[in-house]
Amino acid sequence: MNGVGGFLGLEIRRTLRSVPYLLFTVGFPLMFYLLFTSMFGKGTSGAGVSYSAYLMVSMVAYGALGAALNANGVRLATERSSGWSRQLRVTPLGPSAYITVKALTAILVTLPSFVVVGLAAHFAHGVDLSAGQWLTLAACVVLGSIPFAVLGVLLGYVFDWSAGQAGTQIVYFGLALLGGLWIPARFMPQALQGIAHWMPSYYFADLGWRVIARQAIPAADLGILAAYTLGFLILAAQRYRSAEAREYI
Amino acid sequence: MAAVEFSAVTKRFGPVRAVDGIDLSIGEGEVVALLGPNGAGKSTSISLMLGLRRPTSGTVRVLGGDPAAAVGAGRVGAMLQTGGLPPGVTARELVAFTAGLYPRPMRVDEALQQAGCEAFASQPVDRLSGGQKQRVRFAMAIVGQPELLFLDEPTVGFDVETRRHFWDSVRAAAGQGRTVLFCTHYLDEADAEADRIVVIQAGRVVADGSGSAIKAQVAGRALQVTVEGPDVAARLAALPGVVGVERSGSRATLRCTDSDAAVRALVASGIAWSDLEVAGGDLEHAFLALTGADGAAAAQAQEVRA
Repeated sequence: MNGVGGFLGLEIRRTLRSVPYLLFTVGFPLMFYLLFTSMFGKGTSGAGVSYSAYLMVSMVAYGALGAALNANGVRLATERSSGWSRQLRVTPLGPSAYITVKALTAILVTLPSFVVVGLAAHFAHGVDLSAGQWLTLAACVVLGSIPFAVLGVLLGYVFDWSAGQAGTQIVYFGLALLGGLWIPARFMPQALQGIAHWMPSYYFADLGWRVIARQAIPAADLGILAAYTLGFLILAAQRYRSAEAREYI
Repeated sequence: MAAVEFSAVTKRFGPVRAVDGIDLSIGEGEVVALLGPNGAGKSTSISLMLGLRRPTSGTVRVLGGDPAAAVGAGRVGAMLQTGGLPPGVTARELVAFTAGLYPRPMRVDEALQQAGCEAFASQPVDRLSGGQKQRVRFAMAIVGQPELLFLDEPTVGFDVETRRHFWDSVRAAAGQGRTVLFCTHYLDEADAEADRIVVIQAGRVVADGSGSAIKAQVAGRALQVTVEGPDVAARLAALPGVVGVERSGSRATLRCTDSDAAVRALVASGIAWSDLEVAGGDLEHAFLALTGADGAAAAQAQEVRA
């Protein structure tokens, strides 16, 4: 288990040192947050929540989504083609530990965007939440990103390394846009609104929107996210097994 | 207990028989080279030994058990041919992380030093040269103090100096009673570094023994003479003890299984010759003969097997 902890540490360090990671999943959400809040001013969205708090949740979700997806969408394919995953296979680190650590890394590296955007919201726009709300929000970011961490693993086995970058970005921006992270769903045309309400990204952000509105998190949100997690897990397991059969049997 | 044991192992990929019936036993503490041209089945054999692939038929045992179990228990270290290193970490971090995976690792500094990585241990691995990366991978292979060490084409792309330093490190590792198995297509490397050479061709073992035994098997010695006349090569080839003749202008090289008999026959043959030289057959000729660079040589390889 010592080795597994070491691997997790290594993976997290690698991610935090990656310039694209810092730029796309911490820098961009912060920048968009500051941009959007300056555009929408100091109005309030529904349920008496200020835009600055609402957009904070949107942009944290946007950053966390990117962190969870990109951690593995590109990396798993790259590591298969470079031979690094094969090299790890000839150490005592088992293949299941490899995948578990990868998914765990994806979940944990969502936190920096939460911290950075949260600090900006608090200090630049006076978003003031109770300690309990902040903690609940952090828990929502981590637990709510589980389906996307699994989706990242799935993408890492769907795409080869050359298509991984573009493919993952398309899924990322699709989920962000259609899930109402950039433009709130209720401002969307009817048809798109219908789509938004099927997007896991919408329900991910909705966890946070409920927390800042001091509303209970609907069981349906959790159920939908769990269903997506299960679906992605089944598909990822299939792709994983076929990749294993190709490379290791 | 054998370190590696192959019994009637085959491995097919669709219609391709990458390994076509190999029986092989490698004892503990041996330093063995797997030698063969590209596509001969060396890397597939290594994959089978590491549990990365499963044989189509036959059994592979490593350190007395299942290969994957030996790997899982940290008793095996390996340097694969395509073992890319991940970006964003230093050499030291990688070796330290690897050490953490094994039950009884050596100190990280010791591994870095043995592999010759001290000078660049704190640099990100993505900025290292090919040879430096290879040394980092060697450090990762030895840091767990495995009983059995696999090196798949470890010195490809090394310059002479780096190669020498690398083999010094391997010998130090082997000196601690470790079994070392390496693949190479450098003949001199196999000859110089291994106690035993296993020549693989088309998925089969075509020769197995020390470098000098293999040389002796194929062609013990070479005679060189200056001769005249067009039909002389055929007459030379017919001499007892001679297995092959190469002609370059008036100079003929006779590959011999028994050079003494060949010299006696040459003297008695009435062929006009001058400037006789006798040299040890080199491994390159033996290798070409064994791996079938030409038809005659392939037939000869079959004889050697029989």
